[in-house]
Amino acid sequence: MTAALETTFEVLSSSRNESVVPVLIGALDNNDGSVYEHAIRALVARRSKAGHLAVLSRWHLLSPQQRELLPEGRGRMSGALRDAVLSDEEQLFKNACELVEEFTEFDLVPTLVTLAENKKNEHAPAATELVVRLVNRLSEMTHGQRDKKDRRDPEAIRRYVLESLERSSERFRQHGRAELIEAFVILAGPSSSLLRKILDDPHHVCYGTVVNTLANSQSSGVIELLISFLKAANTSLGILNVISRRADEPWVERLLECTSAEMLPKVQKNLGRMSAFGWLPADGPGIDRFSEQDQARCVKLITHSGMKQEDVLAILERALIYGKPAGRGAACEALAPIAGDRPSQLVLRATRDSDPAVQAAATRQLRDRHLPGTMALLLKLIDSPHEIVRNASRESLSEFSFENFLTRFETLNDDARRSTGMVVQKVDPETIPSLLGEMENPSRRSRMRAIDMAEAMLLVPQASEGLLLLLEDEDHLVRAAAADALQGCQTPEVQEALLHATKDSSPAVQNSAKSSLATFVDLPVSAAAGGME
Amino acid sequence: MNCTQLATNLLAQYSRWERLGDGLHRSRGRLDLMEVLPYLIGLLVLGAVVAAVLAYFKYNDLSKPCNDPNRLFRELCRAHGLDRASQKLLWQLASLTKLPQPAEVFLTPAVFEANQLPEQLCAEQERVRELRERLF
Repeated sequence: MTAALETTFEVLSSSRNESVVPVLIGALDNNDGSVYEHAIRALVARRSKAGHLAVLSRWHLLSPQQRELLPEGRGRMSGALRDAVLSDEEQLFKNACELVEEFTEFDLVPTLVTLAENKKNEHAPAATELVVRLVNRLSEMTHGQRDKKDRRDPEAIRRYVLESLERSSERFRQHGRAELIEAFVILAGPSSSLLRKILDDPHHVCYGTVVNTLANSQSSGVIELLISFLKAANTSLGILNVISRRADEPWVERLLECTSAEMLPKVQKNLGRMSAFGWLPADGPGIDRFSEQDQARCVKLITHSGMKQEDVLAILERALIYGKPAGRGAACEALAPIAGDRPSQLVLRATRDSDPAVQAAATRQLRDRHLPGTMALLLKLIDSPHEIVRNASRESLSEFSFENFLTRFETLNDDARRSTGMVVQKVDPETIPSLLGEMENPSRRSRMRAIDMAEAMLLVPQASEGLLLLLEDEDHLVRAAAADALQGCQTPEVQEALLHATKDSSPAVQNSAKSSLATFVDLPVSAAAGGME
Repeated sequence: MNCTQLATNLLAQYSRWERLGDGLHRSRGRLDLMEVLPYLIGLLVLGAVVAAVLAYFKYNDLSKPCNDPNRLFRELCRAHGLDRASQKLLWQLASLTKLPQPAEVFLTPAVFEANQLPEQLCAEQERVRELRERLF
């Protein structure tokens, strides 16, 4: 475009002379190319309904590039759009509908609702469809992500549009347009008094349509409405039935998402009132189709639900057998409060699972189930290559701690001391440090007991350091016991210390040292000990 | 001076009361029109000048809201810096080609085509061509 034409259009765009509009409209009729586009731009920029209508009437003829000039006039063109929507001219109405949707002109919803309610108007069906599409868009804006360029407040628009839809719902008996009721339900939040009134009255003229919308609409507004009902107190059984029956993917996805967070008491209470989920049959391959994370969420959901225990068990069994690791882990943990042979067998099976986390979850339940062979299995699992399983096993055998063993040691007979001691040293990783600590106890009785414990647990080699110190103990009985016990650790250092002990002031110690040294047959120093003898 | 003394003084000069309205008598205060005429003419001329200046400004003030095709034509002519002769030629072109509005001539290059020029403007073909180049 030349500079001269640009000057012309600058004047035509900014002039306050209303004669500009017919000039620009004339330019649309007589030109093409850049003059045509500039005329459109200038008409869109001006606040003239006649000019906007002229552009609207040509919308269907515009190229995609030319159509991009119109969004600049968004907001200014509402009056022309309203006139066009109410126009009898077919093409103008069509163009206006397209543009209303393109601009998301929610201000026109009340006009469209009025048009939709008019059964005699041939544009009513198209207007109804447009209302539903606009309401769905608004619902997405309200509940989903917003376009940052769009500065409109979706909540304020929602209230404005909802007002007209509420009035339309009250006129449902006259117009009978179920789509308008659906649009109302999509936008109405749980706080809508009209919606509550309808749901509380099964004889209300809109009741069936509302329930049908709640059961079938995949709009984010309806889905969020159902979720808010799930989180609310005193939700009617009718709504809970709808929630439990719905099986469409968007709904199930949102429901599972809702269970991933900490479950609110009200949600738990409402879930407890549901005896089934349409999307998760107890006798079919329901849970397998979900992702790993969703399988775990499914398990959480059904365990909080009011489903029959046998149905829950069937789903958990399926999850344990066919599920993914997180699903199997959640299923295994969910078995914990369920007593009986079948869940116990499932737990036993889970101890052999390929995933260590599942094994650990099963291991933690073994003691409480009192199954035969549990102890042996737990002791075996203590040697698992997976730390998580070892820890779970130790957790299950936590009563076999060094502390408990120490307290009861003197009440046990020799066999019990040996067998329990073996378990303790496997279960309690602090056994040796604790034993060494006990050898330094100021009480003579405790030090003597520590020497006996080391022998009972066959931990003399590991506790030799402490025993060697006890060879220097002030009490000759302790020295003698230590010398006696040290025959269980035949190392040159021990032999050296025992040789030194043979020169102890106490004959008892000397004797114990000599008798221990006598067992050091393979070591060269023992000869020297013999010589001394 | 009290009231009684003032009243006595006024009554004492009673003889002068009859001369009090002499300055307002018809024969003494007559206004001569010839004396005022130059002032009146001056005032009228001043008024005419002010009115002309105001009309001039109003005529040239194109920023006010209106619905005036002629004014739009002038606004466009001024934006393009057209002289009086060019404006006149453009106006003629718009009128003879029967454009609904004179300003449409600025957006209708077709009317400048030599083969579409009205007979009356055939002689001005060269100037029309120049104008076309200037406006498009």
